[in-house]
Amino acid sequence: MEEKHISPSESLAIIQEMVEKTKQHYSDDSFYFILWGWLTFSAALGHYLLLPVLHEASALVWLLMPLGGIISLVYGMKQSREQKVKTHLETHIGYLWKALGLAMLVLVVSTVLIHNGTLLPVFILLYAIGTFTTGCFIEFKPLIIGGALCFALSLLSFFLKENAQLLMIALSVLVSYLIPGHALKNKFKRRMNEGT
Amino acid sequence: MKELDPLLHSQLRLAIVSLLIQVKEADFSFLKEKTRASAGNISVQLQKLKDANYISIEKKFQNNYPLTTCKITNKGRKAFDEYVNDLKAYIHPNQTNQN
Repeated sequence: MEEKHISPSESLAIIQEMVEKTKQHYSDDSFYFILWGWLTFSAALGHYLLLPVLHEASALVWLLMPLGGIISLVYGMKQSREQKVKTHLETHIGYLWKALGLAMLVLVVSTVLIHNGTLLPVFILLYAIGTFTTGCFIEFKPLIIGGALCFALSLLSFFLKENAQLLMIALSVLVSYLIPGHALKNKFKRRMNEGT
Repeated sequence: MKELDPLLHSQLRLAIVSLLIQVKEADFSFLKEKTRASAGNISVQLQKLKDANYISIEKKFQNNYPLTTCKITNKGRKAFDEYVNDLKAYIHPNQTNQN
């Protein structure tokens, strides 16, 4: 593209071309869903299986979560350095998950400090809000469906005992993080292959 | 009919602003990849846009390589909107007159 005189219709064509080229820019957003999906799935299932043996100490499996925090932080910093372009949508989705992450942290701290029962269904509700909204933003059906299922699973969990709620946590991350996360990764790979 | 903004009515500058208007920020290599222009030419045009306060440029180093990040300013956004409106008047003069 060089400097030359252009007509109004050529201007319009340039704008259209650049809009199209930006639309063709895809980023792989699956990493966090897959990371947090597997960590939470393993911790919830581990907690459930170890509960009859280790009793309260089985909750220590949730110490996997700070590991996820560190990996996310390092990955996020690396990605931010390597990213050629930051879209408004990516930025807004990032804000949403930061807010949800903080809400989950508040729940964790209050659960640990107060010790008066479980808030697990509220976690599922937060997964529902995050995945449903992200799915709508990026127009990705598996996330929308996973998020919608989490709303139902959260409601159901309020009626269940704590050990059954752990299974509901595992099931909710399976439908809202893991399945959509891997589907998103495959979609990104397909698009990259199509583009080359 | 109003004259089109000469700063935007240029092939490469218009392409750069059209890209930047859609994103939060973009680095030099993204602009180079999408416009397929030479690095030297892009640098010159970016400087012109920056001098007019249409874009802001942040330069930093990453692994000893320079990294230039560009962002559209409010003034640039406004100028682009105006340019598109003026363009409509050129392309569909009758429709615009009726409005």
